Amino acid sequence: MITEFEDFCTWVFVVVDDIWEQIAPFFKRPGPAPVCSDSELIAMALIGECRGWHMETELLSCWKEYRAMFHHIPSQSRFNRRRRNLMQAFNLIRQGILRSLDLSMDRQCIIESLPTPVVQFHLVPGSTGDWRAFGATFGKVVTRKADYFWLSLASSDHSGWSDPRL
Amino acid sequence: MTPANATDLEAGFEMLSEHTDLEVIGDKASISAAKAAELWEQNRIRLRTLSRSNQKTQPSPVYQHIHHTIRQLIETVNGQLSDQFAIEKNYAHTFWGLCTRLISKLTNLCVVAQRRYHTDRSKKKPPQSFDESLSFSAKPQTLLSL
Repeated sequence: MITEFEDFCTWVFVVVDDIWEQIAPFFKRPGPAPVCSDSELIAMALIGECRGWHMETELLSCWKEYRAMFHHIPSQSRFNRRRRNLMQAFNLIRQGILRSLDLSMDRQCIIESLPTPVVQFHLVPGSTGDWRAFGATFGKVVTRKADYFWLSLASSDHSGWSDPRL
Repeated sequence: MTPANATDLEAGFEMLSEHTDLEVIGDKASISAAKAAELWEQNRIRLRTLSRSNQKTQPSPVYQHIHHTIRQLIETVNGQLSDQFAIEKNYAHTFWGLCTRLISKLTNLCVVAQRRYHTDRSKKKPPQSFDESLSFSAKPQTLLSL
């Protein structure tokens, strides 16, 4: 039974590291091995978001209080760059976890879309991002009763019908 | 990820075209007899939706109730993504940065689901009787028979 934050961190790191061992050959890069390993960085990102540390600066400053678990905390710019480079690793870990759940073998699923605002409405004119190239547009989301500059996240849920807690 | 100007039906159809042999529950945005027939013929995917209120044929109240109950699952997932993982807050400056954040949040959701799944499974008592085990699987069977 996990009741302490430290136990949760250990559990997540073990889950990530087990899968990382299998996928690490796909993410080899030249140069010396980093002090903060890739699996540690992924675990830090995942645990941080579970805690509600959604901004990277906040996440890294909070992790400094737990140096006993993760000894080396990378700088924000390096953390961000490595995290973006490991995007496919996050996805492979997600798929690995899903595969370990027998519910993922169910042939039933639910489809739904979730509008994802990418830039606040009033900031769009000055935005330097490449959002328009990927189809972001202005629009009114009726269910949210708000105007957004948004993309849409289409999702399907394979988590099975019989257990609503998932 | 789909562009904002693509309809739910187009996005869903494109996503489902990559799969086969599924039974899919969609909302009213997914209503299209032509697309449903195409998915069934090409991918053996059964797309189940409710009818609009002004359509002549309406499903039975039992079917509607089960449909709403099942749809509630993904509303819960979306709620978790919005409230717990703040998926609607975007701090990324580029599209790929946004993708990284979204994938990270979806991975997180799977981690939490796995944790909860194993915890709840160990607590869950096995069905004590045949009737109880029947009632446990009643929803999918009922839906399939409808």
